Order: sequence, then structure tokens, then C-alpha cells
Amino acid sequence: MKIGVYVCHCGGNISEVVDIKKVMEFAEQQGDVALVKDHAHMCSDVARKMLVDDIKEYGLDKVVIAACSPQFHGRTFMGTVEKAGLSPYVMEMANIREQCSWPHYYQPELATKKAKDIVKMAIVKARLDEPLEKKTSPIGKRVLVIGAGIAGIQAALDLGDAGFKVYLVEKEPSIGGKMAKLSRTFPTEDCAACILSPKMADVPANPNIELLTNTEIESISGFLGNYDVVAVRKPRYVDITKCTACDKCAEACPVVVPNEFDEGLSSRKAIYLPNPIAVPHAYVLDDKSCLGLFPLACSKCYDVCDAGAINYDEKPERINFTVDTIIVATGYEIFDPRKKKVYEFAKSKNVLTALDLERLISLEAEGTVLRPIGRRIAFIQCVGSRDELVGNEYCSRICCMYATKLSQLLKRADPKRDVYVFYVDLRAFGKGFEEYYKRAQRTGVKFIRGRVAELHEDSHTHKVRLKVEDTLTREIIESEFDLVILSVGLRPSEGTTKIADTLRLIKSPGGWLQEAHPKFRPVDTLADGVFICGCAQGPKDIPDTVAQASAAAARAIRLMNKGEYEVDPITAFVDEKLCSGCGICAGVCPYEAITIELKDGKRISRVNEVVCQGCGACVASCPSGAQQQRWFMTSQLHAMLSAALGEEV
Amino acid sequence: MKKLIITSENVKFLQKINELADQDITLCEQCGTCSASCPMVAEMDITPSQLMRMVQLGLKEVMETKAMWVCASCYTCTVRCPRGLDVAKVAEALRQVYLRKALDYIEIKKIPKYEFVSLPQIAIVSACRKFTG
Amino acid sequence: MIFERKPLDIDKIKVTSGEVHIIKDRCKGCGFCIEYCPRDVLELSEEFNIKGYHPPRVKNPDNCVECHLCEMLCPEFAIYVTKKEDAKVSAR
Repeated sequence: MKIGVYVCHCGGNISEVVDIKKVMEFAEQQGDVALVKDHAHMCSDVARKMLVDDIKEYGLDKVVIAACSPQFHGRTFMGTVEKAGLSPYVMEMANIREQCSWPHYYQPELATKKAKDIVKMAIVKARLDEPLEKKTSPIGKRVLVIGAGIAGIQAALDLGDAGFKVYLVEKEPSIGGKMAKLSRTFPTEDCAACILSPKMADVPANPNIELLTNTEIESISGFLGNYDVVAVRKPRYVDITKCTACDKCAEACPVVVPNEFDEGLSSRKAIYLPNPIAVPHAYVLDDKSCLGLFPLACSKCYDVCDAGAINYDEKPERINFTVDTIIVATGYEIFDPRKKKVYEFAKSKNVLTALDLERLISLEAEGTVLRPIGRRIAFIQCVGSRDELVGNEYCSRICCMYATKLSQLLKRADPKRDVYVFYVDLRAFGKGFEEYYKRAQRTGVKFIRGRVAELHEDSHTHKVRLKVEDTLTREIIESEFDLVILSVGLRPSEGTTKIADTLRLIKSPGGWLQEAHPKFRPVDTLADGVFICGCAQGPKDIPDTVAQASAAAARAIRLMNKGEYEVDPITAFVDEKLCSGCGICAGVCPYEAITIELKDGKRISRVNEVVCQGCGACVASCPSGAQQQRWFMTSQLHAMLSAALGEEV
Repeated sequence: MKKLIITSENVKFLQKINELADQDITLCEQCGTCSASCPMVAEMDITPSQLMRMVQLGLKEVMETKAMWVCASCYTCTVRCPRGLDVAKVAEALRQVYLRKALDYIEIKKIPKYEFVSLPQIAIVSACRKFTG
Repeated sequence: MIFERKPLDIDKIKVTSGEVHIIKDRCKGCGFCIEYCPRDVLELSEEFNIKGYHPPRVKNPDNCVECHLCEMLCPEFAIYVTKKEDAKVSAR
């Protein structure tokens, strides 16, 4: 055996504290050490080339690098050693920076002593290292996208265009999500439905996308490359291949209920078209409000349908399929304004949410005036956001901009309007946002800095009086308005919360799905093969949502593109001679990677090495020592302990 | 024009109020909810959020204002603060700083009888409450 | 959550409205029509018919949307519905 030991100065970070020469001399005295060198920067191109040359020239078969943390440059040196023809797992890093020179900066002598111990531990571990090889596991080209709002649609289209098979599951009868409800989008004031519609139309046109609407996920089991999905398709009672959307059924239907798409401000029948740009463009029968299907009470819709599209006998259908990766795009819902009792949403006629106003404006644009909007309008910002009283400490990111946009739409429709925006901060962070805000100020919209404390609607005049402090002039304002709009914040949708439970995903404060790393892995999760995008990950506007959706698609393609993916060999394995099948390891594994099976009549533990994340819990829990972890064998750990405690190894 | 120089005196004042009020007043984001909720704000010379601001900057001039005395301790500001701050307690802390100086200390025995008889009852009661500590 | 509000256009929507006709003496008091009416239009009356049963009576005439379920369920053909031209909306 020939171990090469390299001690890095780390540009002074180590050499200023630790006596490099003493460490090198110490290393030379250890058994099996063939070569000891030092270098100012081991991670530099020059030093790594030297390492490769040394391995070849001196025939080194194990390498110890005493430098920074393996979290930092571990992968770097593993790559270098692999280039020289060795297994990356015969390279050991002795961390004498984060765990030595940095914390013990003021005690150089003790630091040097500790550095020697750390190097010795690395050497004894390296002696027992096996030349492990990375394994690969096959992976197909099937993706499940949960949620078909703009995020899910974008991800599905990217994946479909790239040649991957996509199952796009949406629980509503139509795709499009919340964006379909908006009037115009900031800062360009593009018509939301107009720009969304072509994207929605592309979805069924893409041969690689299987669109499952009115469908919910019941369960998902398995792991990367092998996710078994059970989805339940709720009955629509209308055959989408036959329905011509002629509206005769809705005309005949005698049941009138609030229309969810218009936030309850308009009505629909029990059989209805989900929204004007619905995809699939077919009607759906709401069995909860229908007069009755068992027994069949009415059948007026069936009687008038010329296309014969209505079928009362449809039953919920369970759909099973397997996918390789999953993208979660389940979106948001708005904050329930009834939770802020000071804003009296439930008992006022003239207090509405911003989403209500979006619907009113959209409908007015197509000629339907549900109610007059009035002359004096106030926007109240930060409703349900930045508010510890309702448990939402975060900022919802889009409300400042959407209030500015709505103020512009109102002003343009009637320039004599008096529009006020009562804000706490005006967050115009994105491209073109600050310019848009400036434009809004020019049109005479009054932006007043103050959080509205309370409001009250007069029971006779129905005008809304609110009380706010203009914090910039320190005046208390009490003023009456025709209409008050609550700029409600965002909350994770019900679907987001449910999927987090189904896939056991971690949640961030606020209930959003947690990304693997806030800076470097914003669309990954810590579950291999599961990606998140859009508002399921956190509140954001449409450009950011689309960017994240494409990012998630790219990350999924990255995993699936080569047809196989690398599996870290640092996994647990079972010594079947020692295993008694007690099952303690299976219970301890947080990833459910261990199963107890019958082999030749004996109960044996088996580790799924693809799912195993190498945490070591099973190894620690095994009473007979049958569970072992590669690269951290019990023999290695014992040797390291002995070295640290000063015993002869 | 004011030269805003935050001295160690200002910092000490803020720390004292923080300790008395048992919270971190730097967390106030000056949203104005407390001022707009206050039923007595019309009688105040500075608004409650202005009071918080002056304390944040450690400006001892806040002690000369009338606002903290007009405060009715109704706690509406506290229950509505979106950052969870106890604004009423800050007003109380400022009142305490003044009262602990015992500048208006009264010895009941030394009040002349004619004053005692002609003073309104409530004045005597509140004087006993505030100025005999 | 939003569905506590009454839709703003509810007064403009016209739906079919029905008039219930009960042939009292055919009724055998089974109660199916009352039980299954999806709009809660009928209730048991206090009076007796010639057979000694309590026939149904119309409780909420404005609620009927002429779905004809009572007509189809009645085993004795004792109830039928005709279409009323004057439609007044009552949503659920």
C-alpha cells in the first residue's frame, strides 16, 4: 500500500496557525505513507495536476489531503483522483481548516497537535478504504406534473417538447389556474387570458402530454426512477370528445349557484363551462349542486344535448401509472379576508378583495357589468401579509405591484376617479416595476404610507369609512370611499399542503414547499427526483413562476437525459450471516429504504441502495453489527477512534 | 436643520425603555396601525407611531411630549400591531421613567387643608396613585 | 369561503318554474315525493284524503323548477308538474 499525504497551506488560512513542517514530519512517520508533500493551494489547477502526476509516477493507491472541509472541495479532489485512474473513494480529506486552524486561531501549538491527530485519523481510515465504484441505475423519460396552472403548463410544455412523456394532472375541470382569472398583468398590462390561452391550447396539442383534468392524486409511492402514482379522475358526466360547448344544457339547467371562477360574484348553473378559455373546452356537471343523479331527478341537460355528450353513469376512475420524476406546481390561494375582522369583509357590500376586482374588471371588458365600481376607491395593502396576528410573517411579493396595476386600470376607465393606495412599503423590485410605479404616480393615484387600522361600512349609504395614519405627515386620516379593495396576500393552496403530506416534503415557514438550497437549488427538493416550481415554492409573480417552471423541467431533464443516473455507493449493506431479521433497521430508516424479506426461509434485511441516503441510522441501530456502511465501516471508525485517543494502530 | 447624531446617551435611553417595556422597540416598522387605532390620538401632540420612532432613535425629547399621558391604556394599539409589539407597554415604560424620578412627589400630610378640601376627589386619588411611589 | 356572498347577477338569471298539481284522492301517503324533492317544495299536510291518508301539500311553490322527479317517483300517479311561464329565481 502506498499512501500519499498532501498538506495544504490554504493560502495562509492553515499555515498561519498550524506548523505545516511538523505535520509533514509526523505524517512521514506513519506506516504505509510513501510520499508527503505540501502546497500553498491544493485546489489549484497546478497542484491538482501535480497530484495526478504523483499518483501515476509513484504508484500511489491511497491519498490523504489535509486541507479544508470535504463539504467544500471533497468533490473536487474526488474528481482529480478519478482522473488519475483511482477510485474516488480512496481519497480522504483531513479537515485541518474548518475543524482546526479556523476555530483555534489563537492557539497555534494546540492547533498543530490537533492537526496531527486529524491527519493520523485520515491515514488510518484511508488504509481501510475500499476502491468503491459509482453505480448507475436506469431511468426512463416519464414525468408527472402536478397542477396545471401557468407553472405546470410551462413545465409540461418544456418537457413535452424535449421528448419526455408528461402526465399533467389538474384537480379542476380546466387548466389555467389563477392566471386565467386575472384581468391584466403587470408591468406591461398584457391581457392575462390572451397570453395564457395559446399556451393552454398547446397542451392538448402536444403528443407527449397526457392531460388528466378533474383528477386528483390519491397516493404516490416509490423512489426516483420508479414512482408509482395512483390518481382518481372525478366524473365530469360530460364526454369531452362530444361536447360542442353550445350552452344549451346550461340554459336548461334549473339550478343556480355561485360561480367559483368569478369568486362567487356571478352565478353559474349546475352544468357549466369552467371558464371562458377552458381547456378542455367542455362543460362539466357539478354533482354537488345538481338536483340529483341517484335517483336521477331532472335530466333537462340530457334532453336538450344534441351531441349526446351527457352521461350520468360516469363513475370515479382510478388511474395507475409509473413515472421517473415528479414536478409539483400546485400553486397558491388568496388569504381569506374574513380572518381580519377589522376590515369587516363578511358584512360589507363595498369591501372586496383584489381578486374580486380582477374579475369585475375582466367581465366589464367583455361587456358584463356586475356592479358599479364607483368614483372614490381605496386599496389597503398588506392584508394577511407581514402580519403576525394572522400568522403570516412573510411578504406576499406581488400585492404592491398588482394594486398599482389595478389602480391604473381603474384610472384609465374613468380618469375622474379618486384612487388611493394605502401602503406600508412599495415593493417594486422587478424589471420595469419602478418605472411602472412612477407612471402610476403621474396619473394622479395617491400613494399614502400608512396601514389602515380599521374600516366601517355605513348601513344606509354603504360608503366605507376608514381610519389610517399618514406616517409621512403624521396626520390621522378618516375618509369615506365608494369601494375598498383589500390587497390580500397569498397562502399555499390546499393542493400544496396535501401534496407535501403525500410526498413527505419539507415545508418552509408559511407552509410553502421547501427548496433543497435557497441559493443554489431553488427548484429541487431534498427528495431525489421531486422538483417544485411556481407559487407552491413561495409567492411570486408570473415571470418568476415561468422561469422556475422551465428550471424545474431542466433539472428533471438533467436527471433523466442520459437514461441512467449515478448512485452514490456510500450506502448501507447487510452482512446476511450476521442478520437475524429483527427489523429494527427498517423501523429506523427515515427514507423507508429497508425491507425485511424472506430468503431461503430466513428473515433478512435488505437495503434499497438507490433510496438509501447513507445517513447511518440503521448501522447504529443494528444490535448484531450486520448493517454496515460503505466508506464508514465499523472497522474504520474504530481505527479512527483509536488514533484520536492516542492508542497504537 | 437637525443634525442626527446618535450618541451613546441615545442608545442607553433606548436600551432602558427596551428593558422596562420588555421588548425590542427597533422592530417597529412604522406602519401607523397603532396611531390609526388609537381612540385618543386626536388629543395627542405626537402620534403613537411617532412616539415609537422617537424611542427607536433614543431621542429624550419624547419625555416632554403630552402623548404618553393622554394614553388611555386601552390596548387597541397592542392587539392590532402586525409585528406583535406591545405599544401600550412602551407608553407605560415612558411614564414610569418620568414617575420614578419622583419629581412630583407628594406627601399627603403636607397638603394644606384648604387645598385638600377644594381639590376634586379624582385629583387626590390619581395624585395618590402616581406621586406617592 | 366566498360563497357566503350572494352572486350579484342572481336577479337576472331566469330558470324554469313549475306548478305542482296533486291528485289528492289517488295518494296513499308513501311520502316519496316529499322525501326526494330536491328543492324542498312539499310537506305532509294535516288534512285526510278519501282513503284516510295525509296527502302532500306545496310548502314552497316558488322553489319548484319542474324537474318532474315527484311525478316519476309517485307509485300511484297522484302528482304531476306543469311548466309556469312566470319564472322567479330562487337559487340554492
